[in-house]
Parts: sequence; C-alpha cells; structure tokens
Amino acid sequence: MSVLGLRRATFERSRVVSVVKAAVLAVITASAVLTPGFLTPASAIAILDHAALIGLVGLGMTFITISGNQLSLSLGATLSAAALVCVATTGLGTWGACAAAILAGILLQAAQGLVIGYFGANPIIVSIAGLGLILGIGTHLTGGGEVYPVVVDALKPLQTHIGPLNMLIIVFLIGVVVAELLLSRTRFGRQLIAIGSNARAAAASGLRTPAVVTAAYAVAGLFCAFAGIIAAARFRYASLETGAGYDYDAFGSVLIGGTLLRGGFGSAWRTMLGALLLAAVHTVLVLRGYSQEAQYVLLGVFVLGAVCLSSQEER
Amino acid sequence: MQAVLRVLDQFTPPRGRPVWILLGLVIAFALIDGGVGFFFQRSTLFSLTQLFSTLGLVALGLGFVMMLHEYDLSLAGSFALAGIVGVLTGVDNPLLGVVCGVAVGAAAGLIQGCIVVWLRMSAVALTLGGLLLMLGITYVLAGGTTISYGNRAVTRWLQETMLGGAISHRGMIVVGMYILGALVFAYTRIGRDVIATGSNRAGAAVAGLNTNAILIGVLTAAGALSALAGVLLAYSLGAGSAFGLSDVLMGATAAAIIGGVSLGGGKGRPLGIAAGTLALCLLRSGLSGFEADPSLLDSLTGLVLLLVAIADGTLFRQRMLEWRRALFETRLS
Repeated sequence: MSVLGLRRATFERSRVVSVVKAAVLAVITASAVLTPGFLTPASAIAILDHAALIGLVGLGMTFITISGNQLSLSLGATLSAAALVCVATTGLGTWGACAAAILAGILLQAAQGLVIGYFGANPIIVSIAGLGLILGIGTHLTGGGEVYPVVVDALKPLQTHIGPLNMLIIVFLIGVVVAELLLSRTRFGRQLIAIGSNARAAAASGLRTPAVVTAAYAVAGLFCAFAGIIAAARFRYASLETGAGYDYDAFGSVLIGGTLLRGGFGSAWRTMLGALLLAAVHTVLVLRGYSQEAQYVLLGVFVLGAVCLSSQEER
Repeated sequence: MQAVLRVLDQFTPPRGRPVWILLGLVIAFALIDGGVGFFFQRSTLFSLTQLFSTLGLVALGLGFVMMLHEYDLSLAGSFALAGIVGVLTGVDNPLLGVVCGVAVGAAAGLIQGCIVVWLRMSAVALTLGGLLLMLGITYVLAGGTTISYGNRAVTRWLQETMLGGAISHRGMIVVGMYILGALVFAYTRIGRDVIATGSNRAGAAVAGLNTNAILIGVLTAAGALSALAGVLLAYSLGAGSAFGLSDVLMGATAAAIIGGVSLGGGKGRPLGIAAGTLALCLLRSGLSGFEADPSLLDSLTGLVLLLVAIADGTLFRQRMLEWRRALFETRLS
C-alpha cells in the first residue's frame, strides 16, 4: 500500500462524508419548507427554545468531547440534581437558590472529572457510576417524586422575557458566546484542545492534565446547572426525571455540529448549529404529527449517522 | 495431580479473586446476621438467584466485550427490545418468541460489529446510537406502556421453583448458559483468541488471528445473550416494557468488573463473571434482607463501579507510587 493510495482513500472518504452531509441537509431543508406552519415566527421561537435546552447540555458535552473523553452519561442526571437543589433552596432567595444549584452542578461533574483526569479512569464507566450514584441518592432523598418550591415567588425573576426571547434562549445565547470565548481565547481552552489532541504529548510538555480535565467537567456541570435552574423555574417543580435523556440529544448536537469524537477539535458554534438542526427536525416531526416514539427512533438514526461520519472526518 | 492443581488454580489469587470476594460477603453477612435468621433464609437465596438470572447473561455478554477492551452500551437496548419482541411474537409458541428476540439482539450486535470493523472506530459511541435506535423501536412497539404477555403457562413455568425453592426454572436456564459459555471458553480456541485479541489486538493480528471476525462474533454473541435475558425476564414477569440505562447496564458492568474482567481488556473468564454477578446480587439481596432502602442499593452499585473504575485507571499505580513517595519524604524531613 503506497502513501499515494492511502491518501487517495482518505480523500475519497472525506468526499463521501461531505456528500452525505449535503444530502441530509437538503432533505431536512426541503421537508421543513414543505411543512405548513414551519416558516412562522411561532415555530422559529419554538425551535430556538427546544435547541436552547438541548444546546445548554450540549455546550457542556462539547468540553468533555474536546478533552478526548468522548461523552458523559450523567449530564442529564446532573441537570435534574441542579433543578432539585434550586427548588429545594428557594428559601435562600432567587440568587441564593441559583448559586446553590450551580455549586451542586459543578461539584457533581468536577468530582467525576477529577477521578477521570487524576487516575486515568475510564470516562464512560465513571459517568455510568455517577449516574447511578446521583439517581440512587436522589431517589433516597426525594422519595422518587416531584419536589415543589418552598417559596414559589423566588423563581419568578427567572421567568422574565426580553421581547420574544425567553430566559432559556437568552441564557443559551450568552452561554454559546462564553463557551466559544473559553475555548478559543483562553489558556484553558488551548490546553484542553492540546490534551484532547494528544494527552501523552500534552502531559510530556508539562500541562497539568488532571486540573484541565477536572475544569472541563466542571464547566460541563455549570452548563447543566443553568439548564436545570431554568427548567425548575419553568415547570415550577423538579424531579429526577427533569433532565432524563438530555445526554443523548446533547451528544447528538455535539457530533452533528462536527466536533470530533476523538477529541482535540470542536467549537461552541458547531454545537449550537447541531442543536438548532436537531430542534428543527423535532419541530418538523411535531408539525407533521409524528409521535414521541417515532422521534426517539429518528434521534437514534441521527446519532448513529453522526457517530459514523465523525469517525471518518479528517482534521 | 494436574487436575488437583487445576482446581486449586480456580481458588487462588489472582484468578480466584471473585470467589474470595463472594465468600467474604457470605461470611460478613453471616456475622452481621448473628443467627437472627434474616440472611440465612430460603427467600434470600431465591431473591439472590432471581437477581442473578436477570443480570447474569447481560454481565456475561458485556464481560466478553470488555475482555476485548471494548464496551457495548446497546446491550441495554437489546435487552429491552428483545423483551418486547418476545412478548409480541411468542404468545402461541414461546420458543418462536425466544428465537425472534434473540435474533434481534444478535442482528444488532452483528450490524454494529461490522460497522465498527469497517469504519475502524470505537464501539462505545456507535453503540450509543444503537442503544437510542433500539430504545426508540422499543417505545414504538410498546406504544409507551408495558405490554402484557398472554401465555400464562409459560410465565408460571419460568417462575416455578426447583432444588427446594432455591432457584427458578429461569435461573436454571441462565446457569445452563453459563456452563455452556464456560465450556466453550475453556475447551475451544475461542477463549484463547478472545483473550489474545483483548491483550494486544495488533499483536494478535500479526500472529494470524482474524481479530475483526472475533470482534464481530463477540458483539453478536453479547447482543444475543442480553436479548435472551430480556425475553426470559419479560416472559417471567408476564410483561415487556422499556428500561432505563442504569437498570441493567450499571449492574452488569459492576458484576463483570468484580468478576475479574479488566477494563483494559485481555482478562476475565465466564466462571469469574458468574462469581462476580453472584457477589453483586448477594450484596443486594442480603441488604434487602435487612430491609435497606432499595435506592441505597443502587447507589451502592454505583459506588462499587466508581471504586473499581478508579482502581483500574491507567494512572492508578503511578498515583499510588507518588503518594507513597510523598508520605516517605515527609517522614524523612
């Protein structure tokens, strides 16, 4: 096998990837435009709203994927835990509750990041263990049911609108900018990308891998906490089911955006685009009257396709 | 003499670790119990074997996959989907339901294995897609609720106890599958090939093994085993429904790891996984014998998994050396 042959093979693979991507985009655009009710302001806000919730968790997942640890299965549970803490601490006032929830989110994920970075533990297994611990202890504390806020008014300031944009969308848009700045303009972002590209080379050149990986998971926990707080404010209650399943949509939005599964390459913009695409598909399915179950199937197909394409992509 | 050594080898470390953990747990529970009789009663033994028959086959399949230094999230999907498929197709002829359910799991493993080999990618992310797709199909088939299984006779037969109430017919089927797995693993080339591929895939390929075929075969077998567990559970409960990720997969992973399967690949065998699964189930059924909160049992499984993940971490030894050195130096100064 000559070098030339190898190069031609990879060239053809990347061309196949782009063709498939273009075809999928064309199909989605066509079906969206042909769906009555899709091109309305109401549906635009609905798409943004749906994308914001997936996207906030997705922004967190982006940091984990870029760090070379593929994915976490405990982000949805962390979202639920943050929402529960927020609802349970409304007695501290709005900002007190928010601070408590953010602290909970950061701690839950940073602990997992520490174990993964410091001991080199398998990230998937650690996240499954984290999921089990959060759900188990959470069920013990809440009795498995819904928790309602002690002081309902404390959640009021989190339900404000600015023009047509609700709090969720505003926080998401700010989150995208912050995450993008973190990744591209800070030393932490550059170190994270270096570690994701080649962990051993990064460690050999003196980067403190455990600290950076822990920070990446802490940021993921922060974004989950934001999503949890807003979910709690919107539904006015929280349970362990609040965030169930968001890991999958979030992972889908990260890969569909084009952030590489093997780590070391990706951005917050990409995740935002991925989340918007998933949300648009979701809205088309809702408008065309497909059931919730059919949407699960389609999400599976999308994640499968995105994973396959992402593994073939050239850097 | 050779035979005696062989038997002894099963019980000495490192191979015997799961057996010792199991024995230690039994003794610990017996001591805590102190002759009150919460632990040593027939119902504890029965709940132990019932837990074993739900978790055992998934742990066995997942254990084989982990021996190859891979991981298969979609086994939870095969488990749930096969249960529904079995319930839908096996009312008149239960064997047909088993065949259909197992075929679905095997096909899922086969397809994913081929994609993993073809695209040269890691199985974890791909099987997340497979898991979502299969859970989605499960939801579509079940329509979001549980589907009850119409053939009462089969349900009754699977729940029927034998050996003095110690184990159900379902449990005996699982034990039979374990014996089959252990025999194949010990007396055919398959076991050696799997361990060799898991230890060093490139080396095994150079030595002439068809590592791709082994990977595809193991993923197929794992899918089929979890599917069988799913069908048996659905038949035995008289209903099929969708499950969460933490319900089966977390326990199976913990069981396989306690049973001596290394996350790094290349280590483990079926009897060890059986002992590991028994140890985990004993922990659960023993604690529930003392009427502990079931949600705390789940957290305990999570904790066990976390600790083993730490101990199996690639940097664990290095960190321990660093700690020892730090301790030593502070003593000197």
